[in-house]
Amino acid sequence: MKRDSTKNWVIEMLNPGDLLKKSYLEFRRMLLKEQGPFSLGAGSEPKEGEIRIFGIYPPIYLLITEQLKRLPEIFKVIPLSEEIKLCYLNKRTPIFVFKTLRMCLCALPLELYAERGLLYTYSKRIAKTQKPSLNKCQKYVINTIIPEATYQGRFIKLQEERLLKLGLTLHQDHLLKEEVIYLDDTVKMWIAEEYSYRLTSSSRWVVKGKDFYGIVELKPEYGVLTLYISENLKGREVDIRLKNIVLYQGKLQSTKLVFKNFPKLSDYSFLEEDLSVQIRKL
Amino acid sequence: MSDYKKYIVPLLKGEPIKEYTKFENKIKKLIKKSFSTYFSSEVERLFKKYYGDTYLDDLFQEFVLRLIQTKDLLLHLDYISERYLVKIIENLIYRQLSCNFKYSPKELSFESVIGGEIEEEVIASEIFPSYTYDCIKELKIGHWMKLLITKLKEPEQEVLCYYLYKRLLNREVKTQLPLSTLYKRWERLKKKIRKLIGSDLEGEDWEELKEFFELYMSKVCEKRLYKKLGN
Repeated sequence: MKRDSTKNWVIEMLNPGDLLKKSYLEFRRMLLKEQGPFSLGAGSEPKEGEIRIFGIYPPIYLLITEQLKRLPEIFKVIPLSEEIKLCYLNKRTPIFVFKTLRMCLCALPLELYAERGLLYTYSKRIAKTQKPSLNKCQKYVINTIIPEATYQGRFIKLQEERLLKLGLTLHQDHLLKEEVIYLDDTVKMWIAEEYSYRLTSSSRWVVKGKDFYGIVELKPEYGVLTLYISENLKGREVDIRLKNIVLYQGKLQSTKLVFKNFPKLSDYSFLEEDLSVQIRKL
Repeated sequence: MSDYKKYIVPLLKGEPIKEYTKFENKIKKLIKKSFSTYFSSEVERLFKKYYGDTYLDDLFQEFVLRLIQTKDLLLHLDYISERYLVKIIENLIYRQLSCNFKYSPKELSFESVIGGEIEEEVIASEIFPSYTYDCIKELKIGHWMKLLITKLKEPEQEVLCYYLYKRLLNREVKTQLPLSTLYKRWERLKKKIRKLIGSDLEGEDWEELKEFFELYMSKVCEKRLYKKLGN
């Protein structure tokens, strides 16, 4: 047994290409136990030049490169990763070395758009950087081709998919459109009755289910539920149900759905279990 | 794979950990394993040189400080896998390699990290110390080699070899193909290679690619040439 593992090690040293494959496969295995997103702390306003940790495991870090002037609710971000050898593509790849945080992060050649609310709730500032570093990273994104066939390229694509699932987008237009929904009174009453018994001890305003996460904002009379649906369902015919009751039905034009008149309850954690987004079979 | 939550959660909450020594020994074993799995023996020797014989203790201390820095996330997790801890260790090693051992492990005490949040300001650097750069470059070259051998078809190998002999050795190899066909195929092939490995043959990456293609020429093209001469 021992001899075998020594042999494998020697093969790896002679054929180091396999080490990139090994790291990539290990990362994929870690994704099988993906956890989150979690809200980190009390929430904090995102600002240009910040490096934030996103509340997801395996973790993703984001560098905020720009707050759009015309649309200040939207930020441009470049993802950063701890997996140095999987994202170090060439001599121009930007690297951040942290003294106190005891880590180093590599920029990925991607720039995405994220909403303020998402960054506010699910990410937390860990460090900051200055304009020249932002420019360097943006220049790197523009000038870098993501390799199609290498394990490095596949790793970058995997991280991109994870971010899109969380509601970040590659085009700013996707973020602007939100669909506003008002629930039917009977549905509203049903929800209020069905879930009125819930205790307040574990009240939660941020929920995460399969293919969606939601944030509830309480107003004096009602609650506003914002659902962020996984980007890959955009344009698909879907049913959104709470248990068996349909809350929304139709072609998903936007991945952000705002239910303006959701009943006011003491806890919304039931949404994680009972709410489902299903693709409609035509 | 074991779950390390039972050790890490009390550590992050500042509570006493049962079997602290066991945890410490387990992590030190993982540190040894990370060195041997992901780095050459030269890297471990560098750590011994800079940290002294206590390098495992020092890295363990850095590891604990690193966990504390990301406690907001770690405390949420249902499960903390050994695989992730190994990734953290690998990253700690890269961190020292990236800054040329600039940050001494003893520079910050536990108290200064735990008490109050320190906001760090960092800059994006592009250059790794040459040693670290070479480590990763070797990995990439090995990987590209395998990729091009499997993904390029026989006629494409021929065109690539023709081009490499010409560019690297200034030598024209005999070919049955008319020059115009060769040129057209080469233009297509350049695009394909660029897409596959993400590096531009005529761009800024040539220095790095040159090393790879020299190896490719000796491992692939020369064999082809001998085979042809033999026939």
